[in-house]
Amino acid sequence: MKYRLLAFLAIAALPLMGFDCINDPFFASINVNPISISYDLSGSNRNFDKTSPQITTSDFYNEGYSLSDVSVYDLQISTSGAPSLGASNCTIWLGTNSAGPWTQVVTCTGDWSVFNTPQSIFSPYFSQPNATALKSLINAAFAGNRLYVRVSGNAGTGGAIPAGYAAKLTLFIRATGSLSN
Amino acid sequence: MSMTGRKSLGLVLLISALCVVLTPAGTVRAQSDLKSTLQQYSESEVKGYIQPVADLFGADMNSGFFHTADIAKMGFHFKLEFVGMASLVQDAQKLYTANAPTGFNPGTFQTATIFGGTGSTVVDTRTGFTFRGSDGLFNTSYFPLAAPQITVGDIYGTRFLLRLILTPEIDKVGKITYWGIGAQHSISQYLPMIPFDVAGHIVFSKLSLGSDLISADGVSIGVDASKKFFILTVYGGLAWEKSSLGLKYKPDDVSLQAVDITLDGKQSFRFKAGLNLGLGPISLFGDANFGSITILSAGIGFGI
Repeated sequence: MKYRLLAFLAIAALPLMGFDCINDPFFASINVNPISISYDLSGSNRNFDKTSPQITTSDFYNEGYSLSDVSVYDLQISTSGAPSLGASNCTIWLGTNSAGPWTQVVTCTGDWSVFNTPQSIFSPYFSQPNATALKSLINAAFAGNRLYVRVSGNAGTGGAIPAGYAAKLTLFIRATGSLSN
Repeated sequence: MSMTGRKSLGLVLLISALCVVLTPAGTVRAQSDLKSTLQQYSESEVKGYIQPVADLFGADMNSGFFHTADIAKMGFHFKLEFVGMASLVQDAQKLYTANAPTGFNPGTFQTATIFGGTGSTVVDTRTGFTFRGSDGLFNTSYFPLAAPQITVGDIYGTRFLLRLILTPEIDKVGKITYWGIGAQHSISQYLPMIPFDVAGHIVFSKLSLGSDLISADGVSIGVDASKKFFILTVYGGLAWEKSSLGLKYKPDDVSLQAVDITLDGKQSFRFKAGLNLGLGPISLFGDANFGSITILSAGIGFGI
């Protein structure tokens, strides 16, 4: 009983000493798990246009958080398959519906083999991204818990792309979130 | 549900250690917020954010041990004390330089530590991409710790100290274990010509919280001096100390490696000065400690 009284006094004393003490509201910056989509290009025409399956965005972060601000802070593309298909280019689109509309985010250009090593959007192989449109789209996607990523472009010249050739796109996303009660 | 006294004291420590609001629900929320916030950080990111806790908690752990250097060569001494410590949060501990993601220009930015305000956002100059730091979690000008302790002796001029808090598993918080063990040995018994009392001390402390999420260690080795004037004892001391804070968790981002780090507290030396008022079996004491961190300590003791 004496311990309980002392504990109570100690607890009661803390606010009297100016102990506030958790910031409220408190927003943590959430590292969303990287969203990676692989596109199998084998058998495709050299001009390709591939759309991802539906991505359920809530699968990529701690469900205990309510997100209020989502932003992409990097985007990487890598390719698999050798020998090189030659000069290639891509356009990356994001949407919240598989039928569109689509928001064009960025374009890339370079030899197929360059992308055998993952290339970041900060590399010289990417154009200036449309950051404003991307931010708006990614926030809408997370609000609706649904995201589609479309990649179109060209992989060198010649016949159908041989088996074993694929492209992988990874989105790195950060969000501001508060713990849901 | 009725709470036991031991559990209540454990909560006092928890509340103090984690700077929690003053309800059990708040306690759980702070622990939950802290854990969830930490889980957003990679090992390299979390160091700057949490370093002030390592500095301040370590300084607290190494405070409030002894309030006199007057130890009999042989005699009976027993005191139960409740000690509160509070290290002052400096403005410099509210911001740290964080790394922006690879490729960003600028590559670093200033944002809130766990004691800071709103997290800052860095904007990459080429892409316009943004990256935001977390908000500070604790809004406080000091970081407190409270603990019960027993001092017992005196045998061959030596007095022993024990701090101990053990709690059962607390929902969403886990088990708390905090102990400190040490001894103070009279030096003045060998130097009877000195007009005041002098003693040396060594104390080891350890805390673990929440299924290994947080652990802390401390050691203090120092010299204490005191002089008694009727019911008032003036005391002071110098001490070398070391502390560390360990963090273990798995980040939410599955692409990040599990975090298992140890951060050293920055305080390594302190000077303290204080007063101890003896009112029969009750004593009231308080001291100020100066080093790279300033700590205030006060408490009440029962015994002889």
